[in-house]
Amino acid sequence: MERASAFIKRLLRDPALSELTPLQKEQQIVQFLHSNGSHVHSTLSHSKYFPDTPWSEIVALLEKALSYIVDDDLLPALRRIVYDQIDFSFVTFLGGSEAPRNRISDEVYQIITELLKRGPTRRALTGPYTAVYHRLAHPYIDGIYARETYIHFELTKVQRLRMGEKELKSMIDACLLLKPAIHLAHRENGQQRADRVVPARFAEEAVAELGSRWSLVPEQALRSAAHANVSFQNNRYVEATSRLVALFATRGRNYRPRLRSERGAEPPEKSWLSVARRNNSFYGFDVKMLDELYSIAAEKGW
Amino acid sequence: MADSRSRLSSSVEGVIVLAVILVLVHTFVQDLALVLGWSWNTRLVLFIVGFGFDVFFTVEFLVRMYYAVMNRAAGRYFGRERGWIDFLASVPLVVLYSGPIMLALAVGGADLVGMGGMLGTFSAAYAIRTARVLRLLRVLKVFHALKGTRAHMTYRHMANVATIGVSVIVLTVIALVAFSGAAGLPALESQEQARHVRTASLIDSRDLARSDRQELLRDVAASRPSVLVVSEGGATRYSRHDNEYYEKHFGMGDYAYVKSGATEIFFDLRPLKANQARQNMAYLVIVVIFTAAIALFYRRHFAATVTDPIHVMERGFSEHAHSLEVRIPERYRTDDIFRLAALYNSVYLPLKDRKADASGAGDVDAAGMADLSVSDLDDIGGEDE
Repeated sequence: MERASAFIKRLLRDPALSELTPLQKEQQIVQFLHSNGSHVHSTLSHSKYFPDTPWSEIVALLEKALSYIVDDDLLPALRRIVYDQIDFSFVTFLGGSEAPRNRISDEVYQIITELLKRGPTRRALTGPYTAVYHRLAHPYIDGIYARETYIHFELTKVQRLRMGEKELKSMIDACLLLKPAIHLAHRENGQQRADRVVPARFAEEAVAELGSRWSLVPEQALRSAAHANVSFQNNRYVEATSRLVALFATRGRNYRPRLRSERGAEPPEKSWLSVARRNNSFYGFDVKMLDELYSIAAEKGW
Repeated sequence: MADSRSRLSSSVEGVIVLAVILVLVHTFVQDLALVLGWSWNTRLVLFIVGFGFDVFFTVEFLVRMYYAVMNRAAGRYFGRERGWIDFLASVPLVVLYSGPIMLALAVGGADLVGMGGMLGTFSAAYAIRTARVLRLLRVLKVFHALKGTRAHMTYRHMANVATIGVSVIVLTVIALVAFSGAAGLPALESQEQARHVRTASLIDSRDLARSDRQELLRDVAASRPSVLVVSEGGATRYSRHDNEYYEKHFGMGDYAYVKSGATEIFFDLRPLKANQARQNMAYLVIVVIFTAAIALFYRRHFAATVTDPIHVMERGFSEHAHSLEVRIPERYRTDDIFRLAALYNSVYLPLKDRKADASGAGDVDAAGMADLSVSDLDDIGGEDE
């Protein structure tokens, strides 16, 4: 295990990974190990690390070591996000429990640590975590409130949220982190990819089960998080917050903070939103929402 | 070995670029010297420097041509690699302009001086001097050799446009001057020459060189500023300046000599040469501004409408992590390149995104995150901590 840790630490020091969040680094390394299996095996089995060890054993050891090492960075960062960055005062606007905020934070943190224990949900948390870590939704929420057009109408008139920008940002961040939680409710689906859209019925059942297990997080927040896994194309009732969460979770998956505009190209945000608009039915996004976010990004030159 | 050859080649190119810049400055200063009436000694030094440049570029052309012939690539060098520019900007100058004058100066023979003077005053020979400006295109040839696909393509197009533009300007100027006489068009020199003959006839026919007609001679000379000296039978009857002035400001080709009967008259050719120098300066400025405009504006336009969109698409095709759309300017929307870019944006990128998601790479690498390289592994595997 020590050799595996030493090897993983060397890989994590690769400058190509420096800009990534811990979960992104982890996924990148896992992908690297699997796509270059034969080369990695021949190199490692002839080195001081794993002399004459079968590949299946090596990869299992490496993945285990990787999770441990990544958790060392990830868990403190997650604590900071859950306890300091996200302001759970938004729960009062949802008619949620009167429990102290710390207890709600504890519960959310507990859910996230549950998610991190299982491979598929851990992978599914990568995009949402990156989105929250880099606060990807925040500048757009400012734009939404400044414009007061489609998305604002959907949030305030259709979903009837009566909260301000600050609370909405926290709610979106919390829902992002809770998005993969529906897969905790159905363990039999644990081996499937947890970032795919799910049937609406699956989400409803998950909300009911999660609500019974974690009572402090308001049902509306859990529902928003769960419905972020449902395609808007087939379920027009999906809440505006869920649609936003779905969008930013996907954005977080391939977000690179240091990616800058280049000559002759559109800026990164505008490019991503444009591609997402064209793939809206594939991902189950609300195209009108994408149009508005695209317009905000274009206006701001993101 | 290859590295040292490449270093030598780039050093030579550096020297040539420096020489081209110096030639342009020198050509401008040489003309300015005529316009501002600088002393003969200063102009002589400038001329000798110009001759040195002409010889340098002629030798450079001959060396390049020699190696091209040895490598059986003479046609390619002369055509595609624009050796014809090297030729026009070197050999004719040495053979038809600076060489004969330099020879005349060196030998000091009357005939040769006369020939040099004649050539110097003829616009055709002087216009050949304009070919020096073609050396400006050498700078573009150096840019052309820059590495990198984008730069290479941009500079090749830029060099083509600049070559066509500058060559047309310079060769048209030379051709117009050279053939205007043949076509029977009146040239400034022949008009000036005719004026000199008329003035000489007038002075001779009215016997103004006689000692008792000095007043009248001075009036005639005052009305014709080109008259410098009038003499009869070896005795000077009129001189516009003192001898010291002539010594300081006049040299080969600065004056014309006309004899009519017993009267000998020297005329000042410097105003005519100054006029030609002004024209030359104008051509030089036009060519430099034209080339600079190509380098500044056309290069940008070419990059924005050709190389940049191609580069963005190339990165999108070759790099997993690259998923930026091509920016399509509204006014160029119908250009072929942007119609292709529109397809890239609307078809390829969405497909690439969906493919990455479907392959499972989407967890982190929907559009491909920063890729680790297998070579990193070799480093790790071979290391003993």
